[in-house]
Amino acid sequence: MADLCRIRIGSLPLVAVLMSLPLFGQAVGEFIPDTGLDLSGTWNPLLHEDFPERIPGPELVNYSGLPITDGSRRWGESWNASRLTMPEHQCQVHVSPYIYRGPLQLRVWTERDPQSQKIIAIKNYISTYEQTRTIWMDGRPHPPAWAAHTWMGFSTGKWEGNILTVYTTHIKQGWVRRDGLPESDQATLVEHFIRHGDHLTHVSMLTDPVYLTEPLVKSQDFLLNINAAGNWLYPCEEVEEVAGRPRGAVPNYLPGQNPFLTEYANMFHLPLIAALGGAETMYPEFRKTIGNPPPVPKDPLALAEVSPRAEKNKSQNPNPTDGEVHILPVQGNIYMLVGAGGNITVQAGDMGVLIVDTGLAQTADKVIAAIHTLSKDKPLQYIINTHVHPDHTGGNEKLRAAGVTITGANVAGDIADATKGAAIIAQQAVQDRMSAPSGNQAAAPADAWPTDTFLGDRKTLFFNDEPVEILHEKAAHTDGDSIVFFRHSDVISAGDIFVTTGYPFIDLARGGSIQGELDALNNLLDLAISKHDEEGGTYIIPGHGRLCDRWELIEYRDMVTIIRDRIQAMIKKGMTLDQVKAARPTMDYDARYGAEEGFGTTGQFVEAVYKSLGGK
Amino acid sequence: MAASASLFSTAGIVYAHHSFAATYFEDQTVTIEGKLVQFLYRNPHSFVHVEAPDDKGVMQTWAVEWGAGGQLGRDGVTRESLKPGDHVIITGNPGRTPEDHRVRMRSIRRPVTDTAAEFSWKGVVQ
Repeated sequence: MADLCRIRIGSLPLVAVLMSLPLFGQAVGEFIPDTGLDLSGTWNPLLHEDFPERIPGPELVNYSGLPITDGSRRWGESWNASRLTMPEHQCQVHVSPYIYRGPLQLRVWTERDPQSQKIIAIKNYISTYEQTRTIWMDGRPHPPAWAAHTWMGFSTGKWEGNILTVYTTHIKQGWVRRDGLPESDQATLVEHFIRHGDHLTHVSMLTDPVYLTEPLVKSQDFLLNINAAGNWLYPCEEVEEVAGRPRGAVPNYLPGQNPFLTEYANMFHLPLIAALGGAETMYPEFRKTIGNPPPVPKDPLALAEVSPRAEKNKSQNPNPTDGEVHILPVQGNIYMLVGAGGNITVQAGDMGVLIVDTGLAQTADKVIAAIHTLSKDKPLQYIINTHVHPDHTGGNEKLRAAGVTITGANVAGDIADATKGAAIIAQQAVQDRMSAPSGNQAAAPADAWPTDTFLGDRKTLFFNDEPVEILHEKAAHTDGDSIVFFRHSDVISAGDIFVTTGYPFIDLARGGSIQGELDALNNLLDLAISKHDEEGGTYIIPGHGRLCDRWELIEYRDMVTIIRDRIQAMIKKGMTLDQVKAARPTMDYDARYGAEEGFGTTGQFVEAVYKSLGGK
Repeated sequence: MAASASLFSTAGIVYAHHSFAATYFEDQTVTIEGKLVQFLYRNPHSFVHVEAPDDKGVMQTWAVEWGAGGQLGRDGVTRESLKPGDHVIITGNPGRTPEDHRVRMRSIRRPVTDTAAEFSWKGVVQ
């Protein structure tokens, strides 16, 4: 606590001044005036600020001086350092709000328009994790809410006097402190870079509506280094550190089972409430309020666990709010359409168009219009349904009618309805649930049913110079889920197995199960390969929410696994469904994924997991 | 011939991507003796995997975290220094999750044999 209080108190007057400065008044597209100040050069960090936290690193359950939420504390208490031995976690980059505390070098340079010499961007290369960061100075807008996030985020800057002020959004989930305290993907960052001769001060203000109750302010300093040699690389290659770990296992401590809860407090003779952090521990008044705290128990398991309570969802809506269907280029031949209910994937090329899912019925015309802007008058030939739900199949009828099935020679004569439109591909279970035996009322009109079904676990196409794999996931979100892998573009359309807007909807009535959901998430992980340190490479279009890469999938799989583990342990203890719900097994994730009302509430998710695991 | 002198790491500090304090019991040591089955000479940290018995005599595969390739290179350790099948004695800090059988390397020694020279290293992995 002492370390953190020192920083906070020392920084406050400066922070108060800096936070009062106006931010980002420029119009979009307007170049930022060039003040002539130059931050270019090689900068070496001065490590004296919070040295022990930097090297060798923070102790477990040392949350002092951090304005964390109860949900964040629960997240940290369930975090097991063994999680970092998992290959997919070994190269987790420190996000932009955290990385400047790293010990390696910083290079700053300016990119100018060759004609006008106006500054387009100020670039940072941070050798810790080999991260290149772009601070746009040309007035461009931030990407939409449904765009992908990166470790460094999307940054725009402006000069305020001699201070470079930077605003960053679209940051991946990362650390607030690397002893298990999370920073959510909803966090935003305001920074000030202040140069005094050969000295550079960097002040950052992190706002995280999910895991912080108030902004976290930090500062760090750098010294100009005129010798730009040294190590600029930080390669990281994931390996199998722990042999024999079961596939999909995610090390975590069940609530109340973390054996290290009191270690830090005991080591430094601190009151436990100080070690557990919270906004109050940032301020000097905290010392007075704790009075004579009770002694820290020697047995951490004798402690009452964090009191379970509801946390409201604080995350941003990742969908368009203008009622329109928007197109987001992904990579290769692939585009993502958002605003039509479930996300729609479009693959467009010389042979025509293939889409994955069709959205809601009422948005079908807008989807067709969006596809026309991408198709270059080539026909829509294939529709693939990832599952049966109407926010993904509602547009089947209209979209099918807007396309064609191309057949040749005398084959057309053999297929009576070949002229009726595009082919609709799905696993047989989807057709089973949309259709009905002759004479019975079907769930959907016949023209909306899949026309080309498969019974097995895999169907393939080769379309627009690209192999396309359709892989059935048994009993996951439903019993008819498919994921679609575009192997050349390196994009996966995940359907509702993976969403960024909430917990997975385990549709027990339509054959879903928690184990099938986890198997599917792990299968998705096996298909995805990152370009560099769990960023880029394979992109994943979720059923709902923003564009993702492998990292988001990892964190989501971890979350679902941990919640499964907790509910399984509660069932083993004989807890009823009501008792399990009251224990809030999702508490640390509710501010990001929870819902108290509407479709797909937290309670429904917990109930589905409970029942799927055999709870009575 | 004893080829490698005992080395002590005093080279520049290497930044751990994770917190050592959170990962290992830094105030405890454990010694394992067994057969090296894999040597991963890499960044951000090297690993040796060793088949050796635990304190109950049950054979385990231990993951021993070592320095970055750069740090070890400065200490004279190369990709050729150790081979699968080498008999090694390792002392280090035990991991906080016992079932992982992890150790943070403090020292490693391969005694001289008819076919292998003595090798030893000790230092601080940061």
